Amino acid sequence: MLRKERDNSRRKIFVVLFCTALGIAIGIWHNRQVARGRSDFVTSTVRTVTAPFVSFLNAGGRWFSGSFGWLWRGRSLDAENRKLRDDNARLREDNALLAEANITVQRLRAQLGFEITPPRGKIAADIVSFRPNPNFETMVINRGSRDNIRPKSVVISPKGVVGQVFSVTPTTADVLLLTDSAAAVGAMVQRPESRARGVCKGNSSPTLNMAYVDGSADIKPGDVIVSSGMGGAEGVFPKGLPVGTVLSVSKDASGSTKRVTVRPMADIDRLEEVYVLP
Amino acid sequence: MKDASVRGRLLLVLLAAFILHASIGGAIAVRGARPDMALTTLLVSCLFVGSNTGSVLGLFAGLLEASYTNRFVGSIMVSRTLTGWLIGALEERIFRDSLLMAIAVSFLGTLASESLFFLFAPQPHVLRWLFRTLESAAYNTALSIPLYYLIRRVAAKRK
Repeated sequence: MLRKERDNSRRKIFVVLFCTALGIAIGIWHNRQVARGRSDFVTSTVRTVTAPFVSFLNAGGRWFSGSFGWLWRGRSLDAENRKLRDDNARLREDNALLAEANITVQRLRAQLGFEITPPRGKIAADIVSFRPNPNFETMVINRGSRDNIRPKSVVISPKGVVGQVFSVTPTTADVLLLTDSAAAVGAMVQRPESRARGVCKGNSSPTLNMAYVDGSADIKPGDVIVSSGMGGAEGVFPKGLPVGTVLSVSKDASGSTKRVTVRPMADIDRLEEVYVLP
Repeated sequence: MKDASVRGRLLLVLLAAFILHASIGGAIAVRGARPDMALTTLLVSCLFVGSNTGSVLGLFAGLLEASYTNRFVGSIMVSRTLTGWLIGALEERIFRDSLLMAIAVSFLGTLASESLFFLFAPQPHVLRWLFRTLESAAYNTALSIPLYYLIRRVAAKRK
């Protein structure tokens, strides 16, 4: 082999090895920074520079869909509108009853000496990027540490729990969606006669698995699942947030636990705006 | 000098593709399958450059994607770098200026890139990952046709 050809092939190997080593080094550094609760400078800078463009295009896409979406949604809009009006009337009624019940509960808790937890503020956020990598159920929102968002902050939509913040930059935050296989929320059945507990886990599909449900638990399709406020170090989801609706229930082979499939309450594929509980 | 200009233009195209992917990629999903515009742009671009530039483009694509995923950052960057290098190395051995080659490279390149990623960061639901990868590969293949003509123009050296 000629010296020039040999040098050329050495250079090729050097470049790919250098790029690979750089990728590994950035990855290791990123993991260390995240473990210390900080965002790493490299990925954070790349995101801060590109996020305004992504956000602008995303907003443009939403505007287009909102302005001209009727062209392809057509008649279904009318039916949806009627259903939403009915839902709205029913929810207003429920809301009035719940507000009254809440006042009674707070008064009774105060009389019994329980600590009264003040309602948490919500921060509205727009979605910058939804599932940027198809392997993960994550999204990026346009609020970050400047807005008092912290890792483990809970993200909700008007319908229910969406996920949890796992990383922040000054202007953006990463949200692990409830449907990701790494996501879990302590949950229970809302029905007063049941109150069966378990853990709702994502599995990278549109539904959730509710695990650790006792084999004798009273749980059936249609039951509403809410967050239980439990979960040890990860138990940051406040109690009572709607998580989903039970789709199916079956016993496992041993009969000691039940397999429960839950459809998330939040329409995760059609999210437009979310709220963060800091 | 001309090579540097081509590299610069390809980096800009890759950046634009990623911004499109991150912003509207979800909106053009078909039955849950969504294209990876940044990966497809990387694969098609690497048909017009050698292994060195392929590695650098791969690292850049990986960095962009990892900065939005914020998980398995190293695995994403390394899998994209090796994919860029691999396709770039093919450029030196095969006839590059062919739409059929772009289509084949997009499909096989997506599978290779996702398999490398799986190797570094195994996913818990293997079958689900496999179907998602195949869907994404099919979508990327369709996307590679317009991208091929665009990138061929961008990569053409002005005389």
